[in-house]
Amino acid sequence: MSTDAVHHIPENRIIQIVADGTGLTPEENAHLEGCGSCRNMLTALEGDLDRLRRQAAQVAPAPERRFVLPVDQSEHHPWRRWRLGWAALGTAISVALLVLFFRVGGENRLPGLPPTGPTVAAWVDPEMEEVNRLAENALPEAYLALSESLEGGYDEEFIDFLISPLDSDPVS
Amino acid sequence: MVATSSNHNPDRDGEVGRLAAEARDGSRLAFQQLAAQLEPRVFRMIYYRTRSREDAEDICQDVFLTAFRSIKKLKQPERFESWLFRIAVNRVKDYHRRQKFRSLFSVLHDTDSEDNGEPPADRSTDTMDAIVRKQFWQKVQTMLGQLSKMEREVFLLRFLDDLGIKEIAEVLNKSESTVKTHLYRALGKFKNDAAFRAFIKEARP
Repeated sequence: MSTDAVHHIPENRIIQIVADGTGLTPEENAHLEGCGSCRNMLTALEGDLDRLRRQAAQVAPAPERRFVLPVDQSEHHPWRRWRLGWAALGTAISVALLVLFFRVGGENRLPGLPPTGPTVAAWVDPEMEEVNRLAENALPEAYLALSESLEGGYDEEFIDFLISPLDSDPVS
Repeated sequence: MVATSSNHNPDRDGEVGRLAAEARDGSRLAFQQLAAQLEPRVFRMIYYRTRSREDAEDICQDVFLTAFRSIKKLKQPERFESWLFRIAVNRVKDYHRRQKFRSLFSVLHDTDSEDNGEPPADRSTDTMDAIVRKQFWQKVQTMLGQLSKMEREVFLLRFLDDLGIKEIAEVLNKSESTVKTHLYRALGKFKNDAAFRAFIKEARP
């Protein structure tokens, strides 16, 4: 193979070969076999890049922390479903206990709430007692004592005197 | 004759695709396996751009957490790796934006930051290691300083992170021809940086 400068592989082509990482054409291969200059240029460039890569890897430290996947918080994970179920059950039991405590808890119940269960028959609402008493007679007992009787003791003649009967009315 | 190629192993890539498909379908174990396989590479990729172990760890955690939370949206599991690197590249960008924003308001700067405009270097107990490490990254930084942002990113992804052209195009959301154009330019600058290449040959980190 000729080693004439005219037939040397151009520098740009050497750069292309190294950069692309693709193979050589048969002609280029044949030329390199007989041309020390082109072969040296190519191998020196490849060698320097390889050295650079290895040296960079050597001076780079190794990571001290390794990547760890985050904990799976998916709703579909079985243990999470179990945990949610237990939490719901616990909440329901707590609410039921609170309701029972306040409704049948005797003296510790919430103010204003009427008792339920066996004590309900004996209990009379004081407000309802007052309403019933007023419905029967709106006047307090002190006023009732001044009148002759509870019915008032009206005299019919006295009423006729105040309101004349219809048959004696001259207009009618 | 030798030709540079990506260190990608088709078997490993197939395995990553299979695990990504399982993880997308809800397998936590598959995702954990993916993380165990890819975490060292992703961590290094982030470290190359932050030069801080602690920050790289934080960002790396965030990258995998984001990937885990959004893997159901991944349409092509065989592209999981590119997708992951894309998340990482974006997180690193966010990190640099935050650093820039903080530096606007901070009066006191770390000595390392003042020296080379880099984030604070990793604190090592071994002084010699720390010196070698610092010197190495300073040289790398000087070499990368000659490149444009895009050339730098493409160069790092190709030659330090070991991604192929197609993957880089997916990570950066650019066409393959655009990636190649920037990569050729970057590699041309690297090739002509005799001082850096000499340092790489002599350096024994």
